[in-house]
Amino acid sequence: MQKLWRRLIEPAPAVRKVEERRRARLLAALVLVLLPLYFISSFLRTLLTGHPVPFFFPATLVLIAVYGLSRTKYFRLGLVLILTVFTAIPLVTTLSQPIPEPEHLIRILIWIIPTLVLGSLLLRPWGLLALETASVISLLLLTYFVPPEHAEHLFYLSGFVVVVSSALLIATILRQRDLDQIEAHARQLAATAEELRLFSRAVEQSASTIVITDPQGNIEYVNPAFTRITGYTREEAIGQTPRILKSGKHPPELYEEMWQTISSGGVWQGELINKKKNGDLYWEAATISPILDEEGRIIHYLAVKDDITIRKEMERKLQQSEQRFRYLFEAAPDAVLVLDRERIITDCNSSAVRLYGRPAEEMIGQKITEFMAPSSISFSHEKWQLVRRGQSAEGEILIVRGDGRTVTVWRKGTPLLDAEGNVEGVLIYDRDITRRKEAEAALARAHEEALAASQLKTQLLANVSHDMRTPLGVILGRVEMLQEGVYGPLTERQREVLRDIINSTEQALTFVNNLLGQAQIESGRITFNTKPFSPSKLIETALSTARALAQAKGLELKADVAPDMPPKIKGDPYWLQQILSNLVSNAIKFTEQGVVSVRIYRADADRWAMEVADTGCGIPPEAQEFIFEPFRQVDGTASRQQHTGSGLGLSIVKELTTLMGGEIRLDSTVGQGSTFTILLPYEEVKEGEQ
Amino acid sequence: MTDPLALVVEDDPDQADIFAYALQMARFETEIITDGRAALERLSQIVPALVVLDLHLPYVSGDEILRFIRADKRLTDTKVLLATANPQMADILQEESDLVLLKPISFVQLRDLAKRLRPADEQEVEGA
Repeated sequence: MQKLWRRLIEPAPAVRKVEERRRARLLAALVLVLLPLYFISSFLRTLLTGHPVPFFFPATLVLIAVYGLSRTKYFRLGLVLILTVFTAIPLVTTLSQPIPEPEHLIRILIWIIPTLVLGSLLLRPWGLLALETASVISLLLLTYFVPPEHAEHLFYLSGFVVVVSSALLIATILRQRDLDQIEAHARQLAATAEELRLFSRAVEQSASTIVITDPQGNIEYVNPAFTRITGYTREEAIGQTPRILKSGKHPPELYEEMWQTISSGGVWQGELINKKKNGDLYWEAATISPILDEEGRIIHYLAVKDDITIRKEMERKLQQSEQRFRYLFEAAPDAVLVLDRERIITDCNSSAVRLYGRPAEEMIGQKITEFMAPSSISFSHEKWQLVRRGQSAEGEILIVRGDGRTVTVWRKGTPLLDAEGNVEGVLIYDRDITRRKEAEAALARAHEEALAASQLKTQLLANVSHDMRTPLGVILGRVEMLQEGVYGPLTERQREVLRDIINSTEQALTFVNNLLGQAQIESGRITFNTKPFSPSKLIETALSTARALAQAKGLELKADVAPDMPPKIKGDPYWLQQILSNLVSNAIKFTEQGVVSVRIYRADADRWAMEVADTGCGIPPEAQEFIFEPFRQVDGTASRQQHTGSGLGLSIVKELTTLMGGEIRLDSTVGQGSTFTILLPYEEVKEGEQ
Repeated sequence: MTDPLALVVEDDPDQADIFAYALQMARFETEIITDGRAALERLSQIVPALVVLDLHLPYVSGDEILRFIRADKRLTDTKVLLATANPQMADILQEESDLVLLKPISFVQLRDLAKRLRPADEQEVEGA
């Protein structure tokens, strides 16, 4: 019912001010009350007099219109309308009488007073004054339209209205003042409430922990952040003291000092390590202050705290990393220097102090070039250009120590970048390489000496080889001459002696043949000099020595170049000749009678071959695998006596053949002989190459 | 008809004697010279059919003599047979000489080679 009533008299939302809404609401309520009263009175009057009430319908219409207006923002129009109509009705009805009677005048009064009362309720003092003035003026004007005897009554009436009006005006003014005050209070209250709502929201949503206690320190309020951080719910916390958070990590003096500060009205700020409900420790930065009442008494304490565990952890890590860095920096065996953008030394480690032979204080604040040999400065400047562009650079420079000595160091410079990636300095590592340089020089000297020694050895061997060949030539030549009967016929015994001489000479010759080749192979200094050469000349040169031996041993030595071989092919004749003479002297050595034949021919489209076949003792299959190894011969002592030698020949042949990209084949039957074939890549001699 | 002339340039007298004997067996007139300077001198006077040349000689080396012979138009028909104890030199001078023999050199081989190197008309006479 009450709700319905409220809805019926509720002003339009466009009406904002509280006082105006009250006025509009009052107007609507009045009309709603008046309307049924008017209907009832009109009905009763019609019933009693038998006459319909004059102006019933217009009056009803006016009332309905006023109600309608009271619910809109034009409620003031409704106000003016109803008061105008109510004021006008008695005057119009009085004037409508042919001769107004005194009772009519009384009726005027009956209308005017309630209208004025209505006005005092609905209007402000100024509005009321206007209404009252209009009423009095209209009464006074009426005196002209009534007979003179009634005019006197009207004057009295006016006087009465003036008195009532004055009283109403005073009452309205007083009431308006009260209303204004109430309105102002209400506004203030609403503003305060809004502010409070904002603050409370801010406190509730704050990421900082907020705790309010009473003067004794009992918790009265905690915000949700408190619960989030500590794990204690609001219900668990209220009534407790903040000591529930104590971790025991701080000395009692800290808490004493805190209480002393805040209880004497001061603000305490500090960092505390506290304990959560679950026992975890956390760091917070706290600001605790007392809240005072008007007389300056402490009524609450307010603590605002921020969880700084992460910050503390980062600080700790930073400190740790800083310590580690320091340790690495100081323990580094290299001198480490930190330079700024101007290459001024800002820090250096103890290795730097040692290397530079200067105290840190002397170096820090100085440009690095101050401690460099003048010859290194321009080189260092070039490197600096690289580092300034964000690249690393390194190189050898000379530094000048405190004692004036120069030291060669290997310097590496790495740019130091700031957060934006700009070069803000450079990190320099200097390594003393004096010893390394000395070692390098010693090594180079040793290498040179070894090289010289090796060259000397080769030269020596070449000389030995040369100097042995001449006397061997004489020995063999004389033996041959003896055998050829140049010095007269020989006995069988003499021939046998000659064979012994030949065998020994043969050994000496094999030794000479291998000496130089082996030394060159061992030193790894074989270089092939590929050029066009004549295969038939090669055979002749290679066999020149062997012929003497074969002749002496009574062996036939056949040499043949196949007709499909061109007059010249490409290869290194020096080494080919070494291979061939090795194989041939080997064949002669192991052949007691028969033939040693040498053949050069095309093996296939890509290869040519040198073949040395003998009718000697042959090589058993089990020996064929290792005869190419150095110092190996077919078997032990028995044959050793017969065929002595260094055993290097075949290994040299194998080595050389492989180096030339060729291949060696052996075909041998014990008691029938052996055939060695050297297959080599065939390279034709082009026109104009000869 | 006189035999063609062969010059033996060799500083070792024994070796020179062996070479000379082998050449004589191939029916050459022989003349032995034991140093390089004397060899050059003699070569400017005579035109031998064959020179057996040692490389390792006093005063003037064998390869210089070889170049002298090759540069002299008079000696175009002179055959040069190099006798060396140095295999590397044998390789280097292979082209310029008619034949290179590596010491020790077979007496029989030299004799047979020399026979083959005799001027053509002589060989015919011998063959006939």
